[in-house]
Amino acid sequence: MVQLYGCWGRLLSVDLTTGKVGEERVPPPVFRAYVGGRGLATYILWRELGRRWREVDPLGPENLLIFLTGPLTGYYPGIKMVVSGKSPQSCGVVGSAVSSHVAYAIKAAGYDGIVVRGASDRPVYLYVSDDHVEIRDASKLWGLRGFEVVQALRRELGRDLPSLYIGPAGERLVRTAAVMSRWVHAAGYGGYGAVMGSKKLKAVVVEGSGPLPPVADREEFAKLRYEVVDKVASRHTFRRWGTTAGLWRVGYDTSSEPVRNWQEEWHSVEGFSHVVIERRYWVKNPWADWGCPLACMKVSRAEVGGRVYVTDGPDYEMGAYLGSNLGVFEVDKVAALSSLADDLGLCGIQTGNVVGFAVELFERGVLTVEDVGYELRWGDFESLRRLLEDVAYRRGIGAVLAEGTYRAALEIARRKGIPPEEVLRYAVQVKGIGVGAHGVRSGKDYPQPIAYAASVQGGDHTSVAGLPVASEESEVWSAFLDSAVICSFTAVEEATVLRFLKAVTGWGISREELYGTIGPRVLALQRVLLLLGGPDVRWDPRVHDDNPPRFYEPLPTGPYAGSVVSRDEVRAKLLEYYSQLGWDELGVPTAETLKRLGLYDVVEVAEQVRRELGGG
Amino acid sequence: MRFCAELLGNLGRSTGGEVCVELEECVEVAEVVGRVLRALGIPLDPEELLVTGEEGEPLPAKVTTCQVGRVRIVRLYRGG
Repeated sequence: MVQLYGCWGRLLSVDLTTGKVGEERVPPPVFRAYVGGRGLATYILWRELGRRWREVDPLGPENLLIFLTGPLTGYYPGIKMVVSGKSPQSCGVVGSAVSSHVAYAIKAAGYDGIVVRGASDRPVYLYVSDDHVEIRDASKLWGLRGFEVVQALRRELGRDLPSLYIGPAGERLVRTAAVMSRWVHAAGYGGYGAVMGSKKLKAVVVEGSGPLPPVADREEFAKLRYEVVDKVASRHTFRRWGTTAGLWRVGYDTSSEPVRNWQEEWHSVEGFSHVVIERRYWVKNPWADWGCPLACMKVSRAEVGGRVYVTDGPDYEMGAYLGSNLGVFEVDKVAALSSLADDLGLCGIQTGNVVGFAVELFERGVLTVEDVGYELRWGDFESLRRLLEDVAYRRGIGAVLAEGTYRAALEIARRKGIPPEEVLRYAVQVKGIGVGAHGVRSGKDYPQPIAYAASVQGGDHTSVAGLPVASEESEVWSAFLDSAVICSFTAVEEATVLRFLKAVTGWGISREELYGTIGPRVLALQRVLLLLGGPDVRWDPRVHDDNPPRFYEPLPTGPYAGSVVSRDEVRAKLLEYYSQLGWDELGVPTAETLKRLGLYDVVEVAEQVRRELGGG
Repeated sequence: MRFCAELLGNLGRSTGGEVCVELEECVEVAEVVGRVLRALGIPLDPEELLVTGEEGEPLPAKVTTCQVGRVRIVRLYRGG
């Protein structure tokens, strides 16, 4: 028996249909091949659902809801975990990373993760305390908002325990719903809050008494931990202002921040910056999760309309999507919308994306007061607040927008009797996932022109495709970080990360193996499942491996006005990207590639996908 | 002496991916990298960058251009 270090090789298995609880072993070679987190989640989903993937309803009981740590959870600075399953947004697999103390608790309880199957017929929550596992009644929690859930759990359990939970949006299967943790953390990409709601699972509470699994080389681990902490703690700008600094830097310096549904990507509103936010709104800085020397979170407090709102930051993505993207440049109101999204259990990115889309449709006369029930205007806090609530509770037009930008566009086109492309042209999404708040038009921010078009996680800004494949620019690197599992803000150069991984696990993974085998294996599997899709969406790479139409419109304002993405460049780079990963010209992994990666059982399915697409 | 920087991803879009400069004396790599990027008009915070040796190996603190003639620069920051 091969000894595992850094992980237990043990998953907690919970079937909510039968109420059965058990454990599953993960063989060491599987861990070594997929690392953990996102990689392991993809493997589990393929193994269990792959053959009938298209028929699996992401919001049905047959879907899995997976909470996974990685071998570096609890060792590497920062405390992330991954939530996964078949995504109700893309119908592929998204490894949705979230900072949560649950990550540490799972490991300290003696597991590497939790796999939830089936669905309960009544609201429940899962309580895990080391080997003691209970599926508990959650009828008193059902219907509560996020902040209320945290308080109610504290009252019921008599103390604060690490938890993941959903708000009203998840309960109502809103596809932009997030799995929340510690008031402000969200596993937003993928829509797993809706999956949790479909299982009637309101919360997962975990306490672990430790210890963590042994590490392979204690001396080297201790040395590297100091080394990495030193590097991370010296990121002074990040430590002081967190990602909030992006509200000025991305908007003003690199012209890549969404403004009014991406009609622009530049602004010069001086009050909309980290310096002003720090001075006027932050009541606690820094604020950190367990084991994080970066401490990029900041607690802000704002009063709007006599009501007090508390939130984190607002961090860059929330500030951009619930601020500039909605035409809101008053920070107190942005903080209020951010806090509201947290409380409702909505992903701020996906919801800000679909709400911005709705406001533009209203502005253009596609949506009217008759459709919405009230007027929508850029920057109008009251109507935007109301729309966020309507999405979360699926009220009126909110029920349409609750399907996410892509599906909402199709439904609005159907209702209005207009061609779908007339509405989709304003939908800034890729494969059902709203694009993160980093544009590609100026070319000055980090995402390359194929960043979203080629990503196996669509518009996910934390998992962008890039060239060269064998570099930190590539989605291979993101897949690896999400598998290991490391927060991208505390990541350092790959050589040190690989040494760290070796010290913890004993795995001598080389750079060549990382970029040539392990990362490409995860991406190939995610890609095949994404192209299988179903039941309600199917992606054709010739159509959907592309940027949103808006990204082909020249930037209208700012220092890079006129900049635009070239379709020819995108096409050329896509082909180069596919080629470097061993995918064919349609972006389907070739049989040779799949065999080289050890994915023999995927060959037949990939061939089927290729045939259906009309490939050779 | 000649010092070259391989700029990956969007950092190298307008330069073809590599920039070389002639230097008359030893300077810290971090300083010359900052100078090069400013000259190229690339707006960023040095904290967002990962500067490594050619094979991705970490560079010692305060390393100079007399010790290393070629580096690789990646934008580490991946949104947030």
